[in-house]
Amino acid sequence: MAHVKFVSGVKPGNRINDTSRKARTLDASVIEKAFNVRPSGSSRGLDLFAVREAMGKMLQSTGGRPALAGADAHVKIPKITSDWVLLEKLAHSSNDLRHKPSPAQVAAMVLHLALGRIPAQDLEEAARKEFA
Amino acid sequence: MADIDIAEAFGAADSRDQRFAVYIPNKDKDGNALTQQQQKWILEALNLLSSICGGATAMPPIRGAWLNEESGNLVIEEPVLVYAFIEPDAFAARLPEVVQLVHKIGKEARQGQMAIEFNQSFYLINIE
Repeated sequence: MAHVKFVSGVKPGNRINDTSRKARTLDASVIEKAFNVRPSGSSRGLDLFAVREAMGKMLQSTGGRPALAGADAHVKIPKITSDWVLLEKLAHSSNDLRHKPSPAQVAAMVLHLALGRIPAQDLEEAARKEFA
Repeated sequence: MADIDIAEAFGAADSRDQRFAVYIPNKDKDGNALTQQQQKWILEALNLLSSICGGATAMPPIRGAWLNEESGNLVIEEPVLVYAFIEPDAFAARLPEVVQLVHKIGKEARQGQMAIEFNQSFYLINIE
């Protein structure tokens, strides 16, 4: 049986940059106030609501400090100060979760979800081409 | 990267980049079919959004699922997405009518929650 292999040939530079005058926008807070509701999800970039929801489900307490389910080892990675400030804000905004995550646990979840957004084949190809 | 003024190239008179959408259900929260009523609600949403935004679109039915946490039953349904690209001032001015319609449909359809989208964010509205 013949197989079709899909190869991602799209390069970031091959895009049209639309320079049209930007339309005026309505702040989402107007909608949220009118409906008395907060967003449940978003398709803009990495879904921070998904990060929060996943944190809530995966933080488990066994008596000590709540651990992130599935995280079985700690590694040292370089910390970029500006990123860490954002991670601390995200951790702080998750105060209302049953178990409050640490910035490092939020970082692990953001990394996990971000990697999950990259198709496995793209990851394999990138590893072959860029890091071989 | 090529810089192109798309609006100028097409001679666009107006451009909008924010979409408001509402999911019109075809089943109640217990999974009972509401096929005829769905058509009425689609028309109501199209009418209201068109009168505010100058036009609106109803997509073909899409398949979705909602977990009724009260009963534990998964309701598989075919909602219709009705959406319009908004002009900020006009939409804000008539937002109470949109809120009223979404809640009205939610109540008539015996929904646990109604789903809307705005600006690529998804909202679930509890229906009392």
